Amino acid sequence: MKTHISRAISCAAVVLLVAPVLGVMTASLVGGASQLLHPGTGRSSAFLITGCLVAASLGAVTLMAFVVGMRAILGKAFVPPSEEPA
Amino acid sequence: MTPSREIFFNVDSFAVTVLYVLTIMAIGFLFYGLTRRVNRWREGQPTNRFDQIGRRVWALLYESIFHVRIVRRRNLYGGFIHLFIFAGFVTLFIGTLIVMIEADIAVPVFGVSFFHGDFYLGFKLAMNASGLMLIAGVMMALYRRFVSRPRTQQSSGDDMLLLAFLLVLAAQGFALQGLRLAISGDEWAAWSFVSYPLAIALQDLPSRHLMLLHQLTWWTHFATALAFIGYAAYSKLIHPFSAMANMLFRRLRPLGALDAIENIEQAETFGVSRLEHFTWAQLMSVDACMHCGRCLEYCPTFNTGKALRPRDLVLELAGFQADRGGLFSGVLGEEANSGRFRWGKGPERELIGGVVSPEEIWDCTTCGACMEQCPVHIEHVPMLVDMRRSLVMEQNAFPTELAPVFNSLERFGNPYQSASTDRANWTKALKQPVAQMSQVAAAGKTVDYLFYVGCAGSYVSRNQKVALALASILQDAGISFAILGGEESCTGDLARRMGHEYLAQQLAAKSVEKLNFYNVRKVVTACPHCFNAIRNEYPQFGGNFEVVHHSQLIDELIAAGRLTLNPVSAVAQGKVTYHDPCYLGRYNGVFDAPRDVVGALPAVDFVEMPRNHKQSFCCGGGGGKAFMKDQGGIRINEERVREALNTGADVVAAACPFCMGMLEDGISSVDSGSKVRVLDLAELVAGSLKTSPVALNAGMRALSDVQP
Repeated sequence: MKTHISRAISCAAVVLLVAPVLGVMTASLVGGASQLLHPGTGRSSAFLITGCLVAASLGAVTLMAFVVGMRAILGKAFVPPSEEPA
Repeated sequence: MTPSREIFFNVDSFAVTVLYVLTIMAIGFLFYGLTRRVNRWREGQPTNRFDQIGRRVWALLYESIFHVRIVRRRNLYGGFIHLFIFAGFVTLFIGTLIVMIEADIAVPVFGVSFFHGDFYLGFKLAMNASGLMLIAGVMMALYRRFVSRPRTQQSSGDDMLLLAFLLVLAAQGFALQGLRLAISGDEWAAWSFVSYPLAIALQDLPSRHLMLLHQLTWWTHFATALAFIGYAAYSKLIHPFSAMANMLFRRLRPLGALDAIENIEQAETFGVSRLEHFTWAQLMSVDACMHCGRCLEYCPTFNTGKALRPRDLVLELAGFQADRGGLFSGVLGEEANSGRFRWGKGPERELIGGVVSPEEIWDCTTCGACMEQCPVHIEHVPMLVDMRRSLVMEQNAFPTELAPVFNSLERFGNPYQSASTDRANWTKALKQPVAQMSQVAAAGKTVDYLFYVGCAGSYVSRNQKVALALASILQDAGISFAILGGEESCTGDLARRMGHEYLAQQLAAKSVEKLNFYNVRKVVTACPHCFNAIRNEYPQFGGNFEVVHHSQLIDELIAAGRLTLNPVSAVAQGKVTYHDPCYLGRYNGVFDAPRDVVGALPAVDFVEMPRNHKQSFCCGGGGGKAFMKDQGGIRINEERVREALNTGADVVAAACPFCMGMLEDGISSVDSGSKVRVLDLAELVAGSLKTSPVALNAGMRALSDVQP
């Protein structure tokens, strides 16, 4: 029971820790895409596309960290080697 | 306008106060955890690791900054993972310190500001590059742990959580910077080349939303950093502290020298049967392990499926130590480490049997591949030998095959149950007589070298041929030498590695006394185990001799033109490969001389096995294993022989009596019809000598007449 509670608290903490950064990346992606689709701000398309790519990459990295961290907390992170010696 | 920025942008003074208070608390938590660990280490036995401080500090800085033991030719991928993470993290950490110094010391205390202008622009560039490097390193690590999954990697929750922490911290850092640039309209934003495109993409969002998002991200970045600091002392993250401490306080003696039990006659305990019997440095070393699995790469027991896996041995000891200290061992539950790791099972277990199994202790061939590979200088072999010492000298619990070996060493001074008076019998096969030191001394003469024949060379018919070959080479080259004959006994290497330290010390003291009595200065031997003992361990017993392995002396003689080799040698033609004996190569760095000798042979095509030099693979005969059954998994010598046979070699060159026996045995079991021969370097050279092959062959044939 104690383990379940501590894991639940840890999971909630992880969600709280990664939510803002995911929010920033989503906002960047949406903001960049919106400017690309509605030109007129005078900002370089190359920079906007780069901005979207950086946001997508960092967002993916954060999501990956989230999944890996949750697996670790839930005790499912053990990854066996690909092959055992004879 | 001078490039600069507001340090606590969009953060009020209350938040800054909270930041400092909680940071101090997190650091306190870290040091509390470290102190608890240090207290565990302090329970170990005393050992002096505070000598040669300058050398220690220099080695620590050199090895840690340049990653010389981490980035290696055969471990480039893993090495660069650590280098990227290390360089990225350390630079970002230094960047954070720079900002703190500017905000809390330079400006308020000294009224000086340096965080502007070109320095500031370079800072931005460096921080962005470091963040990218950190992310690249972590992504490479995740790829290896989840996709390529090398067989030496066994990932636990601790490993994963650490990587997740680093990724989130880096992403939060870039997000924070992007938001700040978008809000402030920083003129020099482009220097932050990762965050700048993010800022451009964010610029159309309402400012108050960006401000709110910035504050949320700042708080979560700060909370993540605090959790990271607090987690450090209770997880694998302790390794920046413990690994550096282990590198600083490592043993400076040669790896080939085991520590003696001081005043063994008065000792009350022998070896290690409880955790606190290890030295404090050994207890510290197990906490330095970062689970990289390098120790497994060339380990003969891991690669043949036996119980002993050096990494797991260290982690078992570390886990037990954590259990004993009531420390959270950072594995996030037993199921996260299902399988082999046995920690988290309580502090009341026996060390031997409960934590480390006797099979693991006796599996080790003492080849040193684990220690040579370990980036942080963990010494597995001395720990295993320490536990063997307890099993042998305190508990009388050792493999049954060793009983006759110990008895023979005690009675006859050799493991073969042969009389010492028969030691020089092999010399009868030589045309020219070989002098004995007693005769030389009686005649008031001196010799260039004492030929320390060793037990195998003296008694085992196959190895007697090697002794004969070496003697004929020395005679051919006009080297004056003598042997101890019946006065020679085992150097003590065998007993020492099998855990019988008392017997080992007796044998070593006897040998040293004899060598000193004859005022011996230079020793040549064909046995790497004798070579290692005389070179690295005899100084512990008052014996300081210049000792060379026969491959080194033969190489010198060939280079000096004192040996003429027949271009049409009957002994060695075709492909020859060379097997590095662990006690010659890895422990003593003799790699080139044997290869030069093979290279000097006419009509020979030298081929390397894939595992060679420091990354060679043990034959399975070291540490007394030549006298024990090879149990569990496949046989080590067969694994090595397959590698040799795959080169297509006609001859496997050996330079050690144990290797020779193991390799010949392996060839007959892997391919009984194989025509591949195992020949010692001395045999290859003696058989190619222009002047004496006929005499030598006759001598070898005559050996059968003089067997004891």
